[in-house]
Amino acid sequence: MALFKRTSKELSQESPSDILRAKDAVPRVRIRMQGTVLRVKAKPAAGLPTLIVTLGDDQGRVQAHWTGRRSVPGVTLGATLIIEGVATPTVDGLVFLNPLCETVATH
Amino acid sequence: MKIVIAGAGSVGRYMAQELLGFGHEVCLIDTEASALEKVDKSMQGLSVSWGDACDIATLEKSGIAQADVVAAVTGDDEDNLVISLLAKQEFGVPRVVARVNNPNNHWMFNEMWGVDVSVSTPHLLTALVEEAVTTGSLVRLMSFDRGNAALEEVRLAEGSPAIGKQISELQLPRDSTIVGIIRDAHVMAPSGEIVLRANDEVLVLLTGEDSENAVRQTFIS
Repeated sequence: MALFKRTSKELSQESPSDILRAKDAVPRVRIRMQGTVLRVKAKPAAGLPTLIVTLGDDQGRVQAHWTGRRSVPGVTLGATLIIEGVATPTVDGLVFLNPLCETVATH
Repeated sequence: MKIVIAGAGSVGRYMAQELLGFGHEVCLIDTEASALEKVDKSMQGLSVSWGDACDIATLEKSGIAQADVVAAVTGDDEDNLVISLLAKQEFGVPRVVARVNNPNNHWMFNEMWGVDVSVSTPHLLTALVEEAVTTGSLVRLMSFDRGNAALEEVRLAEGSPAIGKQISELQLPRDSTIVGIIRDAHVMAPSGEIVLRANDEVLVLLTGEDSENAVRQTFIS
């Protein structure tokens, strides 16, 4: 997983159409989307190590699952992330399995 | 539905034939051209793809991006795991089914590797044999929903606390339900008035270990 920090100035130089909001995310297509970490859940020690993050804003939410780990540096409540991957449609909404992740500096 | 089957051995070819018969669209992938040559390509809705299913380019060529289900049924567990992970992670396939060849590898076939349903022939055989020879114990026949839900069966022994009770009287946990009763080779719908007898086979659908323990206490003394 690629994980590095960029400033909002650097991000603003990219085409905004490249980065979707959660409400615009579509399944089965490789997309990049930006959202705020709204919920972080780590599977207990007895279960399979998985970090489950709910990402989005007040208009939409998606989930990102990182398997084999219970934490990812920089992925904390309130952090702004850009993830890239292919979402699977599930009963819980769209789920990205092991997406690429970038943390975004908000200042 | 569009179904991609990785592995055109006897299992994959049989599955393709059956699924085509049900009206599905099937693509078979195999590295061995000789395996694909055995496939009857005249069947409507069937396509074949020669290549390594562990390679993203081969999967793309097979039309996996539009597939509703991927079945990884090669004779190699490592390949089946890689195919499952690629299908889920890179193509967002809603349903991934994987074949377990070596039962010692069964523990790996879970959501960490993108597997929604794993099928282990040795485990199935064991469950079916156990079901055939045991009375008075709870036997897991199948698992669903990534192993969270299970279909279990119990043949009521003479001393079962459930004998003589109506189904409505049983203290079953909330996360469980009786889905059928087999009595004297006849299937009975589980209505509340049915009084259970010895040698009834009771099929229960349940989720969670607590439910399983509670169901065991209900039917087994």
